[in-house]
Amino acid sequence: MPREIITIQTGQCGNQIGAEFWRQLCLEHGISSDGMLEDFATTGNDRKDVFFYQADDDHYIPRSILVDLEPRVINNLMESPYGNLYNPENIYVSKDGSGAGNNWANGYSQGERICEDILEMLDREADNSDSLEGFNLLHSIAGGTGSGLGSFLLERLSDRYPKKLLQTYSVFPNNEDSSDVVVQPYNSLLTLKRLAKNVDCVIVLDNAALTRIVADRLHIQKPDISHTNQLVSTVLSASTTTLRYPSYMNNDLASMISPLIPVPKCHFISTAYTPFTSADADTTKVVRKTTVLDVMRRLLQPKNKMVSTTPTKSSCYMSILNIIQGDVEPTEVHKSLLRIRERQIAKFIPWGPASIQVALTKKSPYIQSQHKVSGLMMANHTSIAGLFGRTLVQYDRLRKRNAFLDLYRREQMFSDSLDEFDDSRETVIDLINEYRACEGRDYLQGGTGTAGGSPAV
Amino acid sequence: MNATELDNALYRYAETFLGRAGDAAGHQRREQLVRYLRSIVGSSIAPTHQRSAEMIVEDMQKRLAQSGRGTQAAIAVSRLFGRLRQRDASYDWAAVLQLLADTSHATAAHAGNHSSLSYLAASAAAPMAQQMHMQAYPPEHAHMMEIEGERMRRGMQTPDQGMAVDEPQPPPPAAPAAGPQLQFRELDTHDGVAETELLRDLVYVMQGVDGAYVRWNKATQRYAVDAGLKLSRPTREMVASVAELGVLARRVQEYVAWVDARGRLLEQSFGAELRSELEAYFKLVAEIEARLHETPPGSLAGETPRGATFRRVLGWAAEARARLRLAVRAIDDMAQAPGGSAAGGALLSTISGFVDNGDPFVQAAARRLLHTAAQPFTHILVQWVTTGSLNDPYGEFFVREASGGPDRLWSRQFRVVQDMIPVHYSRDQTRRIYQVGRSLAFLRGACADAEWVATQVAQPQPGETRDARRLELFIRRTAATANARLMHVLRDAFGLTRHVAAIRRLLLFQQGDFALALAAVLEAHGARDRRQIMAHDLSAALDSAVRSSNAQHEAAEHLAALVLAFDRPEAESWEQVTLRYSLGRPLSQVIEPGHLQRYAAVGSFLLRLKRIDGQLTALWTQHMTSERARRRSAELARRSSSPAASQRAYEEPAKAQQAVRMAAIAVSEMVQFFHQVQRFISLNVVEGAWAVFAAREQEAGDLDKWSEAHDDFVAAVYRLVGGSAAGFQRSLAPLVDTAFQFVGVVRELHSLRALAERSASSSSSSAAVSAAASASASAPMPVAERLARLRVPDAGDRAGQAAAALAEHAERVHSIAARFREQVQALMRALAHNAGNDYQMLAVSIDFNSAYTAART
Repeated sequence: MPREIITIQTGQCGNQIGAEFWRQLCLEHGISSDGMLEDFATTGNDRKDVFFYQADDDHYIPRSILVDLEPRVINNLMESPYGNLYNPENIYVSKDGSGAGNNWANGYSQGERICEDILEMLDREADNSDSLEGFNLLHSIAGGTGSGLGSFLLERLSDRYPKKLLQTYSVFPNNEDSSDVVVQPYNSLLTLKRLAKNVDCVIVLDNAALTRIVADRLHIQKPDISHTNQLVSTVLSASTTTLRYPSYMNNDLASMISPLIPVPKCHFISTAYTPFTSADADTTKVVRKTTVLDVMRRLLQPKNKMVSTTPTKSSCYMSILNIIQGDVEPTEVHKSLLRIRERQIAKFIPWGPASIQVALTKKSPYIQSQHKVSGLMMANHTSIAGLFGRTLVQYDRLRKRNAFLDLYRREQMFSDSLDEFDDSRETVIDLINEYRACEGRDYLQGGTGTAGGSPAV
Repeated sequence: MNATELDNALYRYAETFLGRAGDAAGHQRREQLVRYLRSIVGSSIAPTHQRSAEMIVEDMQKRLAQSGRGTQAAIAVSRLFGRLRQRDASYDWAAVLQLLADTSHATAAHAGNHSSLSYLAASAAAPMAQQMHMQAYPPEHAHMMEIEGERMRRGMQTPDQGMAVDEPQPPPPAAPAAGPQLQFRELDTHDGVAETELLRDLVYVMQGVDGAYVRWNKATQRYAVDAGLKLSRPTREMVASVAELGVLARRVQEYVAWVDARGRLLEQSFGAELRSELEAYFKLVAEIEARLHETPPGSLAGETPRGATFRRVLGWAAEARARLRLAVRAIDDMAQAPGGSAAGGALLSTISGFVDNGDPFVQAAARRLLHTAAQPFTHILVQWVTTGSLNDPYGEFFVREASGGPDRLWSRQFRVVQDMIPVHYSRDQTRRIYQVGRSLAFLRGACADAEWVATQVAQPQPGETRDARRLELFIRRTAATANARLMHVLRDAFGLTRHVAAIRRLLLFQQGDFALALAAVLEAHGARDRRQIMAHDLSAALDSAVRSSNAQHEAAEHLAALVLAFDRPEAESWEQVTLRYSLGRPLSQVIEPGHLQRYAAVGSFLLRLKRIDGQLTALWTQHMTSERARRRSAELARRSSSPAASQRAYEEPAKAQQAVRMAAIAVSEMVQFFHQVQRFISLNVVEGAWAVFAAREQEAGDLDKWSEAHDDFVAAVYRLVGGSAAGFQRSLAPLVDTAFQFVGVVRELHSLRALAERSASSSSSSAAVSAAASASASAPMPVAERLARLRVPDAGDRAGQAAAALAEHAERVHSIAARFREQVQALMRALAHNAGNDYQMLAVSIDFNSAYTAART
């Protein structure tokens, strides 16, 4: 009963960060690039079976489904040293290979077509697990495949596995430079609706923040996608350490995210990580000394957050889980918590108990780290509504001009009407309002939060 | 007698006491006093040490102060002394003052009983000294010592074993027979018997036999000179000194006789040493006797270099006397011990007390005594530290067998008797000796390692047992090997530390996935009736939990030690199971059943927390997924946007919606709460104590240190999260109960909600029945009952009943959630009142944003 988690990586972004994630996991568990256990890693007390299973010949195979509508990324992956790691049966590349053209609607409708194949892979993986706990979807919400096909899969997963947890690691686009994909706001809004409605927990990774971290924190002069992907894989592996290295607490996904999400609707988790390291990083400027207090303090600083939001006066944390890795004395944790509480560095919801929960995990013995302590913060913060607000504003701006809507009208979903856009907008506004309501003292006395009201953006 | 200047002076002095001679009787009395004073002066007795005039005056003043005359008298004395000094500053007045002071005692003592002496005060022409005396010793306060007594005391330099001069007691001062007369007994100045004669007598005495003149006085336990014999003072003292030897010899002989009769090993050994001491002494006596006969006939003792005199005898016997004195002191000290005689280690303690003597002679003699006496002790000791067996028939060693029973071979098989530890053994050394023997005994008795003990433990070299320091080094070496061996055997062969680590992983649930699996398995069995559960069901449950977690990689011996059992045979539900860890010998002797019991108690508490945690998390998951499904069906309905679909849309009562929302928030709150509690227990309590234990365990060179560290670990954990009767568990129990209750109610709420939804959406009653049936199949028991009520044929009533049930559950969700909050607040208050800061961290983390404390005010 290892509480297995099946990972689904869709689209360019999803597959790239997925590849990084599996590479990192292999390193941490001492699994070679072809899935064999390294000689030095045979006596670990880690749980590989949450994310891997063993083939007949003892190869470790990721519980992962790789899906893309164009072959380029996955082909690259197959040619990489880790190409043999994956189960070839779990790879779906669209036959025509044209991709979704950065169009959510295209990705979604292709999903209808290929969904049987993918669901079959999922069923096979699910049957292969003793006690499947849930699914992890890795995707970006801006493009076509990750957002459109991803959205479609989320809906179908809800139907097919109503009792399993659905978690996504969703990369939000860099709103500031929208030159990349012009229809990004459309795609984001439509995906946001699925994230709000069909997912239990969304780990928000904001490309804007990631780029900023690469430039400011790692001091890399010419950041490219591989650097941000590295950050994402760090978060991915760190956020799953408690599942992979059993200790007293947080040994399954539910126990990890249940205290983070007191209100079902507010299930968007932002993360922060410190200290970042990278092979390319300017070593003269990176963090040198790490204590628990340092780490926990830095985790609360905006510059280490992987979501760029501007906290308002009333915004607050609903819950925080700090996963601290390394050799840490429990007493240090207490002191740090006391200090943080004393200084009131973190502001919490006014209507109920909320706290910084701390999970201590060991570092992988197979990876040399230059830092004694590192930490990942998973936080439910109401300021994340600002991120949705920005998406909404950009959407409204684009929609007002009725720009690029033809692309969407081509697909069946939008052929009759653009109701889906409006409904998504409603959903996002509703979400924003729920977060706003959570900032109020009388949240518990208030309604379900669905009571309309004008959008607060 | 010629009237010398001294006589004149003494006459004048006597007059100050008696006044001018009025009649013949007065004259005679004066004569008597003068004679006595002259005998004092003539005896040339010097004070034991010359005191300065100032000191004597000071002494007088002190006495005056003590006598209650107060400061005025004291000042008068010093004034008088000042005047005296003015007369002739260069003259040493000390002797005169001493005489005055001394005689004043005597006269004062007598004067105190004679009112007639009051005339002294009337003497207007009384010289200065008399005034002084009168002020110093007023008649009413005079009760000083007698002259004789004082003299004898000052003369006798051997207060301990000295000899009392057997003479008629001076008449009691108050006796009317004494009359107004002052009776002074003149000292004998000539011996009534020749020195040689006396010496011959004393040879017997020296052997502890009565002589013709000197006999054993039972009353005083001394030798006494025949009362009728006239002896000069120096002779008396000489006799006394020599007779002391007899006293000493007698005591030693008595002791040796006693030892022969009923001595224990150490006493026998000590007695043997004494006997040899005695033999040497008797040899000396024989020699003295021979010398005595060498005295040329006719010549007086001391006239020739041959023969014996008192002084010579004393010289020859000086060393023997010192040794005998030492022996007798040792004997006496032993007799002080409880039980009348010090045994074993206590005996050695007594002797070794003399080794710490500044006198090198005493030291050497004591060392020799100690060495011989300690031999049996050393023998027992060596056997103990080399084999771990006690061969101590008289219980003289400081380690004793204790009745620990076979279960407590380590902690209770032996004990240390504090009184038996020789004082020259340091605490450390004692501990080491106790330790090494126990280790060896344990290796032989419990660890089946007798062969190693027999073959590998070094035996001491002959020289090592003789020299205390080398013996200590030997013990040190043996201790090192024995302890290392024991730790090696326990750690490597029996896996002592591994087992404790396994207990931490499996019983204290550091292995979180195992805990999760176990809780899940127990959950799956939860609905079964206790009576249907067999022992093998429990072992199967445990087995399945092990197999589905990383515990499967545990060493087989650790898994074999795990037992899942009901707390009591009559336990009524599946809830009352406890995970236990059992250990075989020899580990069970080190980690005693009491420890395992405590581990199990903590573990069962943790398991209960895990179970409520698991149920709450499952409830949260159910909530999340059902909300998701709800949104999904609403979405599907929207998309199909057919009128039929919109008709199907079921409007849930606001009250139920509110309750569901409340339940979700409360579940998250409870999850957070129990997570904080578990985190506190795991990090603060278990890991904190474990870090200390691990550090100490690493360093522990012997099993005692290890056990101590382990004891502290168990105690630290147990103190904070211990037995169910203890504070923390008790204050947490209502919260756990409330949470379980809450889980039940919310589950029912969800079922009712699903049921209401389905019955509302299905148009045909048959569909509703099937839906109800399917719901009842999956729902827990109470819901089934409720459903049975709902399934009454009256279809119209059904909706109303469902709504009522929903409303009732909504109400209960609210009240239980509120109760939980109140209980948390009560817990916070209880924690705040807890002495010390043990639970401070828990309070802080539970109430991190002051939600509970704020709500209270």
